[in-house]
Amino acid sequence: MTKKIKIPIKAAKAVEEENEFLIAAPEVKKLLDEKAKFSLVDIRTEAEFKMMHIEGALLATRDLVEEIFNKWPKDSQVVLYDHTGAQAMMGAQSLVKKGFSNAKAIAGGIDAWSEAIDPLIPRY
Amino acid sequence: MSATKTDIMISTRLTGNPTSCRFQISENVYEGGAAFFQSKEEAAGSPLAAKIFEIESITSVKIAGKVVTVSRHHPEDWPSVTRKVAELIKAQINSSEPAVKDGAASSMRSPEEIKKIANEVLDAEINPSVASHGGHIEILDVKETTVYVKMGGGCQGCGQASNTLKQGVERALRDKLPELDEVLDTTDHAGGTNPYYAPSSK
Repeated sequence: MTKKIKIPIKAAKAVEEENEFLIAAPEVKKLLDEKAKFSLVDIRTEAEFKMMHIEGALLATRDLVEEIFNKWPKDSQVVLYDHTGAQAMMGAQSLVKKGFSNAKAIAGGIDAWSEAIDPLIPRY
Repeated sequence: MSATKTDIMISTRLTGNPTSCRFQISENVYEGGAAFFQSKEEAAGSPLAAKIFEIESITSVKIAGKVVTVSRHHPEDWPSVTRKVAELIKAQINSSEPAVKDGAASSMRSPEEIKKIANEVLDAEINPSVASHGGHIEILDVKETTVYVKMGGGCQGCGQASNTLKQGVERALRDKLPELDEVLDTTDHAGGTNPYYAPSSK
């Protein structure tokens, strides 16, 4: 029996347990509530960031990305997110490859965040 | 009888147009059909709409059953608006006043008017550009504020059809008709004698 592939957001929750590059939205919420020391980075476009973003997130401008790669300590906890999850996961993978062992991406992106945490951030 | 409802659930989604947001509510806000307002003045007789218009940058408000749709001049910082609108919706549901007063001015257009305007938009803005791909889009029907379109010619069966519909058609129609609920594609993308893409038989 081959496993059926599920749709992205639902799958994100299931995959999250297995995938070392992903973090579930409720866990990120917990980090924010606890005022944990970590950086939340939005890798969507500037226009999307201006429409809505998770409070406290930084927009991944070219300057910020260069700063992360060149200046941030390699043990920094970095959480990336995008619209629905795929790109941020690749971003987290490349950060890990560069030695940032605490880089992860929000499973399902800001879309999953709207669904699970804050329904007043409009989905799109 | 008038216990305060505290468990009202509201979720939000941008419509095909990033300046327009749909609030889906777990309770009815207004049961008298659909009411649509395009200015503070029009909304004067309807408490919920009037209060929403007090928020900066609002251009239209539509209230229908469990759905409130709000449009703005620009799409920036939606959460600052959605949080205010959600509070107003909750307060409205818990108030004894109706969301829309009887006989309130509403600029709700009839399905016939919507169809006429939608056809004008298609002819002026959409069809000239899809024609370059051999496509053609027509309005099949309008029911209340839902528009049914049929995508013909090169659009039929094309893998980009849903993008054309969402990014192109729906956005252009909503620019002129902010009260639209949904734009639905009724095309049978696999049928006919010459669809752009014939699905493999499995």
